[in-house]
Amino acid sequence: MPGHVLEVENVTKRYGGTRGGNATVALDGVSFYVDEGEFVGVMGPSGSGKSTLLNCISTIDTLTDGAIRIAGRDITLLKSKELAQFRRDQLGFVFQDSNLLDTLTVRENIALALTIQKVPTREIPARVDDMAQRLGIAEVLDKYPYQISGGQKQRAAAARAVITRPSLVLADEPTGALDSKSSGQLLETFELLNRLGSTIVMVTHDAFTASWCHRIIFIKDGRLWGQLRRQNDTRDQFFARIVAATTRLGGEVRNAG
Amino acid sequence: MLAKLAAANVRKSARDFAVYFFTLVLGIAVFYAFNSIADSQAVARIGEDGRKMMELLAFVINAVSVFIVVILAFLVVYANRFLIRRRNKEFALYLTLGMQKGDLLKVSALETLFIGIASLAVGLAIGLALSQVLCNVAASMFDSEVEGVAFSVSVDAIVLTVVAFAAIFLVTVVFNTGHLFKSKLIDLLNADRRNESFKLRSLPLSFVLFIVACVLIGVSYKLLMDNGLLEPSPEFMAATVLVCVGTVLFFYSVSGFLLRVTQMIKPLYLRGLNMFFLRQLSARANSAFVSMSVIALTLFLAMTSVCGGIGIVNAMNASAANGTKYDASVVSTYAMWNYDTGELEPMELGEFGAFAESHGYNMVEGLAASTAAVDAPSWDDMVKGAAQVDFRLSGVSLGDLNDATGKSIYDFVGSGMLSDGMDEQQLDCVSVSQFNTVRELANLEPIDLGESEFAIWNDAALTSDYAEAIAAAAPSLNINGHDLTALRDVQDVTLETTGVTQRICVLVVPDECIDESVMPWTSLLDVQCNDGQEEAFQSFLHAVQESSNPDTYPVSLIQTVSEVEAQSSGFTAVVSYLAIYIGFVLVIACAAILAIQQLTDAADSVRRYELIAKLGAPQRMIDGALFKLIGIYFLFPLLVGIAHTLCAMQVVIDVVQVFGYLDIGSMSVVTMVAFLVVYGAYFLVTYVTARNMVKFKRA
Repeated sequence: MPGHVLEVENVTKRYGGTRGGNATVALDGVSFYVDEGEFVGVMGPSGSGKSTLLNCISTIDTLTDGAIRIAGRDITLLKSKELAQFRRDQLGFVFQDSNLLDTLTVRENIALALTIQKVPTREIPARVDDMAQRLGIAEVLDKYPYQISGGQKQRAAAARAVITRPSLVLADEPTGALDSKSSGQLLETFELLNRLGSTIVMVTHDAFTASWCHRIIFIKDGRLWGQLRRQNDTRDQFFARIVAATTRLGGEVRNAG
Repeated sequence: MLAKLAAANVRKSARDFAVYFFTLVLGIAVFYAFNSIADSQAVARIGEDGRKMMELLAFVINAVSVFIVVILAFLVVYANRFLIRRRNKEFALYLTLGMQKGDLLKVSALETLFIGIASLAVGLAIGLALSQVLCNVAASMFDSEVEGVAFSVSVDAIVLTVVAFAAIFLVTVVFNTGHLFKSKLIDLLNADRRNESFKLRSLPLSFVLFIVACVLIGVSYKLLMDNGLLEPSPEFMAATVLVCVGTVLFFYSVSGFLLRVTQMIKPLYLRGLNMFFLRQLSARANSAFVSMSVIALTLFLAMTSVCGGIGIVNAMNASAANGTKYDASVVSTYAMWNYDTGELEPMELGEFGAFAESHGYNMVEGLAASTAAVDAPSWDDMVKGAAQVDFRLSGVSLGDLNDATGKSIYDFVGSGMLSDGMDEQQLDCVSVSQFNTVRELANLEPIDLGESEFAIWNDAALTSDYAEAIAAAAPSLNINGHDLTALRDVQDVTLETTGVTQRICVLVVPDECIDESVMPWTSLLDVQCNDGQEEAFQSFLHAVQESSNPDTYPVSLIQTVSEVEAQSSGFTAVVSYLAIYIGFVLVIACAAILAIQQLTDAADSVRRYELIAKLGAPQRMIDGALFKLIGIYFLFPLLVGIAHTLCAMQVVIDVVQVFGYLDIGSMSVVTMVAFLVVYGAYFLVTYVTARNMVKFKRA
């Protein structure tokens, strides 16, 4: 039985107004687990707190209350020096805009994650080539980000995220800037990486993108609203259930408003 | 309405404008103070004897002036461009709100006008203050009684400054207009999202260009060393052009070269953030290479002018100290060497010549007989002692000396310092008894000279190495029918009062070798005055020189202790003022421009550093990369500048030797250290500020 890679326990995040009651509550006692080898989607309407959650998990933002454990370590207890090291060794990131360094070639962008980790030099070229081969970007390795398509960029970013063999890969709206064909290719890539052993947590508002996940966690107004497991559904079936769920979620939001 | 907007803009973005304003004020202050010097009469007040130095100085000042204007124009346009770029989004907003492009141009021009007027006012005020302060500092450093540096407000310089900067502002407005006119609204709107487009150059090309740059610089060094500085020759121009082209190419290609070389060394390239900072460096090279080249050349100019200037001053002071053994020295010249015919030609001295002849070319007798004609006190009242040295041609030329020793003067003296055909020039000879009398007059021991020996007397720094080499070879020469062998020790003492040592390889020979029937072509008279008579004697000498009374002795050159010292200290103040002043301001300007550039780059790269921090690079690693990046930007122009300076100093030393022995001395070391401290301080401030800008902050 694989252990929990990510444990989110009663996480609360408030912005501003520490003195009185006018604080904005972004997250309000959210708890969930992600097991090793899972591919989890986090969904919710705009302003639901899903991005805040992802920032907290990725150690970029701090919590007001609660705990987040990744690979058994409570990240809220880490000092800022340890945080950088923690991100480097345990986390991989894929952002909405691929965030490749425009001055570096694709190969160098992927290798950078390894050089920061101080991986022995002789290992680096082989590992980069191997990863690029698997993700189908071998032929663009020596191009610059501006010379390749958005889909290729995102796959390069995915390669950079997983090449350090992190415990957890965090993806923030990775298909947000892609057309549907590129989105499909990227999600296939994620599925492949997941089969190869990566644990992925992906934030998205798009039901199609979410349908590639094993499990969807819904967040609304900073609280856990519910979750869906794919179980044995085909992707189309799962997609239909997600759409239904989001419709209900959206409806409640509108009624509440 | 537009004016109101422009004024509000200037106020609003005061922090951004501050950099621009600071640059302008600095530039104006420099320009005014510098030109008030160049225009002032200070230089012209140097004694008549310094004519050659003055010409050299005027040449340098002119060259430097042009250079300064170009640098300032570059500085202003650059700083302005930095400012305009930052505000693209603001301009876009105006356009979306329906403002016409023409109005936008007017606003931009008005802003330039406001800043221009303000910076001119402040800059001129600071320039005035700065020039006074620096002048006093420079003056007190050397001599409290500085003759010839009188500081006043120079109206000419103010007019020149205003005109020059008006022109520079006009260029700025043209540049702005071009930028705003060309840019499309969509580009302005997206300005901060779009990364500065960088054209990638092929790395092998960079590699080749770097080699070419090094070769060009090497060739220009060789040209400069071979041809020297004194005579502006085609080779000198070629060296100047080559070194400029080479330097620009160097900075154009150096980042690509570094990147290529490091890429070949995988363990280095794939370590930490090396890859990132080298790529960053190379991506910036397109926008930075011009400024880095100009900065390197500017630092070069600054260092050379300071070292050279201080060297000249020290050499002159040393010569002056050496050349004040007598209260006065008088030279009478009766004939001139004609280089074309290779013969002495008597000068047209008319009645004065006859007067000299009637006194047997004895200067003491002749001058004593001249006192009555100019209503001076009697000779004996004024003079305690006097000794004369007669210079006659020895019949031995430099070429003969070359034949006897196998050593050519051209191998010892810097190129360009000697005219061609020196080999035919005959050396002077003087009798040892006269030589010893002038020594005794200065309380020096007489020298011993055997019957078949001669001594080489040389006090000119320019030829001191040559004289040493000749004496060491102990050649035997036939002088006026006597075979004589040289003493191995050179007589390097200065036996006259002068600011510039100038005796080149004079042969001191036994008395019997002198043909008394041949009249000397020139004579030197050293005089020690009775106490308190120095001034009277000086005015007597000048009266004799200017007198048209035929009963006065012909006098060509008069040098007294007080004149030599005044000339030397006046010159000292002017040169050191110029050198230190230009040097310091140039260094500050360079450092300021580098600082602006690096801070802009850091601001543009915040997202990159943020990403790297997210990827988990520890802060120390990021700081290290930033330190190396900014360090290279500051270090490389400095290194290139120092290399150029070291080369140029080889040539400058030759020039300085005209004035005496070179002593770069503690003064220039102190100045250089001060330069480096200022430069280093700019670097540290830039680094710390940039580090704070890119520091990854957790929300």
